[in-house]
Amino acid sequence: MNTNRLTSFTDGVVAVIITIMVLELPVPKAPGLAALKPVTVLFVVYALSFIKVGIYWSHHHNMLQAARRVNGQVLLANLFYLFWLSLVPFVVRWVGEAGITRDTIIAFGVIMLLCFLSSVLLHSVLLAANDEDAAIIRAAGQRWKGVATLFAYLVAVPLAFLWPWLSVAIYVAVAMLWLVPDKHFEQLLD
Amino acid sequence: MKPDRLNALTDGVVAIVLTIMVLELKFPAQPTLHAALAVLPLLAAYLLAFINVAIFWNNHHHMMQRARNVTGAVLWANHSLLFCLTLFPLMIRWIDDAGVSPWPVASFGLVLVASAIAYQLLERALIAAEGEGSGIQKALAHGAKEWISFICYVLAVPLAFVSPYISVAIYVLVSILWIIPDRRFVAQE
Repeated sequence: MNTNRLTSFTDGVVAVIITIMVLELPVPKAPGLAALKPVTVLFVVYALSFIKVGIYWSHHHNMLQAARRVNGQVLLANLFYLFWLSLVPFVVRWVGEAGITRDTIIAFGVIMLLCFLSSVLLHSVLLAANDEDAAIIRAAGQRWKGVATLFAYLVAVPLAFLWPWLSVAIYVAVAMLWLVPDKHFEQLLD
Repeated sequence: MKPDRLNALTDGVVAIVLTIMVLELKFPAQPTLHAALAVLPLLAAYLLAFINVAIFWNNHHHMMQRARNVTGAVLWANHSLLFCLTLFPLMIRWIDDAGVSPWPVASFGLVLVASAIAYQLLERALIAAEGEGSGIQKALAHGAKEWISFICYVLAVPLAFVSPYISVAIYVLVSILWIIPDRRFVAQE
């Protein structure tokens, strides 16, 4: 089976996930700068959620550019991946409303870890379904970034019990790591 | 990398943006002319925002007809444009809450400024992805209309504090300027 429907289904679901938070964003209740303050936090949180989902979509985009074929396993792994991704706006919103506390930061880290693990699973079933393109799919995985990310989340979640802000710093560092485009992979594909 | 999926995600997000703006609209409270007139400003704001998002989508559509190659930088420039476009429904809700008043009307202009900047970044990233002399670089060479509208948007933001209706007039004029299709791409076909 070719990848067309899997990618267009994913694009549809991700388009909803990435925009859903804007539906519930509050607007200022009065004119002036003072009224902007309470809405700013959730606005920034929306931007962060957008970036996080954007990173995952870009990664999915790269993996699937390199793949020629999908099978039943890939479809299931992709659904599993979309499920965890759909919880990103939910958990990010919780952080926005309840603040940076032990519970919200642990929940965020656990969802991030599951998003990451499901993307690793998707990557490995894609590898299994695409023998001849395997090298190029492996390149999309960015192995060192993956190992660093896994390690970072495994450290950040328990750390949140003591210092949630330190975990936030680790989450930001992971996001920065993935924001940098992978030039090596782009050259491999061209 | 081919631009197919970038287009698919963009279409998905823009479809949601246009649809959720409708969700913000309200029915007249009573079946009277007076109540119907009361919802007209919001309806007009919705129309203006719809046209502006549609203009960005049309230009994006035309530009992507020429694009052959996307890079990670193009993906992120496009994400930033999509983010700006998702703020239009928020502006509509604010205008609904506060009426045609300086703060929401100025913010509407800020969203236009941010969208225009993101669109410029996308153009530049696409040209960088395909190199000098590519079809897309030639097609995007004369961007006078972009600059005129960008300057108008920037002026409209502070002018909203003089009178929000001046800014609304500027938004309407710039929109009319853009409803005329971009001949740079059509000419090449």
